[in-house]
Amino acid sequence: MPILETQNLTYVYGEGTPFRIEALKNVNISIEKGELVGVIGHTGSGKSTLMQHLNGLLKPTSGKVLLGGEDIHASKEATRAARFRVGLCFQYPEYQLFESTVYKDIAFGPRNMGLNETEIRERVQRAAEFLEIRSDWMDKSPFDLSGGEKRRVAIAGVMAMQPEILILDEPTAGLDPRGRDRITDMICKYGLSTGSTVLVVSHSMDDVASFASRILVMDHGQNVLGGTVDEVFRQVDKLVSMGLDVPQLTKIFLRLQASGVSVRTDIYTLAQAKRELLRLFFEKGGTA
Amino acid sequence: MSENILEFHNVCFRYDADENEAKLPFCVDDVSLTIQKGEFVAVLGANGSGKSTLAKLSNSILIPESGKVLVNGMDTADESRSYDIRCTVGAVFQNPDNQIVASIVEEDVAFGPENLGVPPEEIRTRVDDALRAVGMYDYRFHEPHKLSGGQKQRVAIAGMIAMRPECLVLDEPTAMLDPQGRAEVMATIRKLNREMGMTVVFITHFMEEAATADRVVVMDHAKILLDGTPQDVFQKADTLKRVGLDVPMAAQLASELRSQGVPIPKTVLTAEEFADSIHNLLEKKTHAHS
Repeated sequence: MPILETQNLTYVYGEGTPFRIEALKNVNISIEKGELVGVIGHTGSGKSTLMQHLNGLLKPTSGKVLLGGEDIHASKEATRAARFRVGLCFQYPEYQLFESTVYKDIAFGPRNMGLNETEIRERVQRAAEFLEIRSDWMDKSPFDLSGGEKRRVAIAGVMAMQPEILILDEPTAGLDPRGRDRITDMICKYGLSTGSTVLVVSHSMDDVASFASRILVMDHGQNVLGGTVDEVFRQVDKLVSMGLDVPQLTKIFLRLQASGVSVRTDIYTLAQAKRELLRLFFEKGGTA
Repeated sequence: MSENILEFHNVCFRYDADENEAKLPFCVDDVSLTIQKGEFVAVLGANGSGKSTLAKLSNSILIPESGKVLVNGMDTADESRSYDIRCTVGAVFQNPDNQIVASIVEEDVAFGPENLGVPPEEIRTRVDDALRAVGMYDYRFHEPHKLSGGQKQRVAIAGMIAMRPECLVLDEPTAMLDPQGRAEVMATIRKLNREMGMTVVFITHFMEEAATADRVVVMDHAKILLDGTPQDVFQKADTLKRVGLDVPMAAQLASELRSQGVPIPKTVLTAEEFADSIHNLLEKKTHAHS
């Protein structure tokens, strides 16, 4: 059974006003435990609206969200439970830091769950390890940290709740390349070592290609494509028509193919690219 | 009359510390930089390197603690000139939520030109042109707060374009956009630069975007570390990685292949250039063998 599912999920903003927008239309997605899912789509495609449904923050206009097979809006208790079982980290989460120390900020979620101090401490510690938050930051004000450091503290706050499903909405937006790579690595490590299900919304095709075990594509409020990295990025024309793209490296190979070079185009990582190009140059005993 | 639109002369700036606390370190430390009219300059640097502060110093939002910033020769410390300075240099920042003021998209875009006293008919044209340029014309009657992050950013850019400044300073305007939105914004900015001669200073974390600029300035720890053509700057891969940056993906692949004996030119920075140079090399190889 999938851990998380939506059935004909539809959501309308501004019902009854001239600005009525159907943000989600009959979305059916199904996610298995332990998957590392990349969610892509143009701005306004409904990615964030969809994510906000998955922990009950928004209530469907029609359709259902099922967590472990149960409707998260079946009862008040079910909705409350969903908030803890599905951790949602918004875009630019560093703007939501508010406590006087880093420790208190990370501990806020677990404390709200009614855990005791020992458990809270343990969870804060664990989350801090995943995000490489140094122990000497714990008593500092989160506002004295740099942008990338604040981002990590904010993500730790959600991780510390140890949700079964962790959802991150554009966790690397606005970060420099090193910060981007670090956070992506930390999220992968977290997913793999805890067995949690992780959903990451991203505008970076390169990032998604590097970590996702599966990709969901949203377009105009609908889930139009889904599959492995290869299954999705193979559909170049479709992606471009939806305002998306293929990874940088894939573009190189598509252009080579278009210029008449016989070359594979299912290339998404540096290692794959290097192997394919060296094959071109050095096979048949030739030299460059 | 100089052809420099922006001049930084030994500029130092730091934010005020709380009372009784030690002074904060400089965010911009003895920076000298000249931007000529019509240039398209990308500014790179890790988070916290001083890029955004540099942007704010460029149109008198911030005033240097020491040194001088001149906009078309006007000193940004001279309060009587701040109106002219801000008409000359328009700035767009990272977060559009802090920049949108009106409750309808087209009114928001009209806010700038209205404040400049542009006649109503011209405001109409400017607003429509600006919204078309960023691909948001169909949303002109929508409420900005109901748009997605990327859409809001395009409205903010339209608001700046409608003021028709001589120089645009953009602080990571594409950070929240999808690939097509990024491509559209880049194309828009480039069009304004090439066709209208607008000077562009463009802060970004995307190496691929910087690769297409005329000139790349790299900041590190409040100082300018590198300043040159993209071809010059992106050859210093080790230096860039040391300061938290990177080189475009195509350039990285090219360098790995060079180390294996494939003679790809060092000037290759974009996917297109890379594919074309591989194509050329393969053709030469075929000829050599036939």
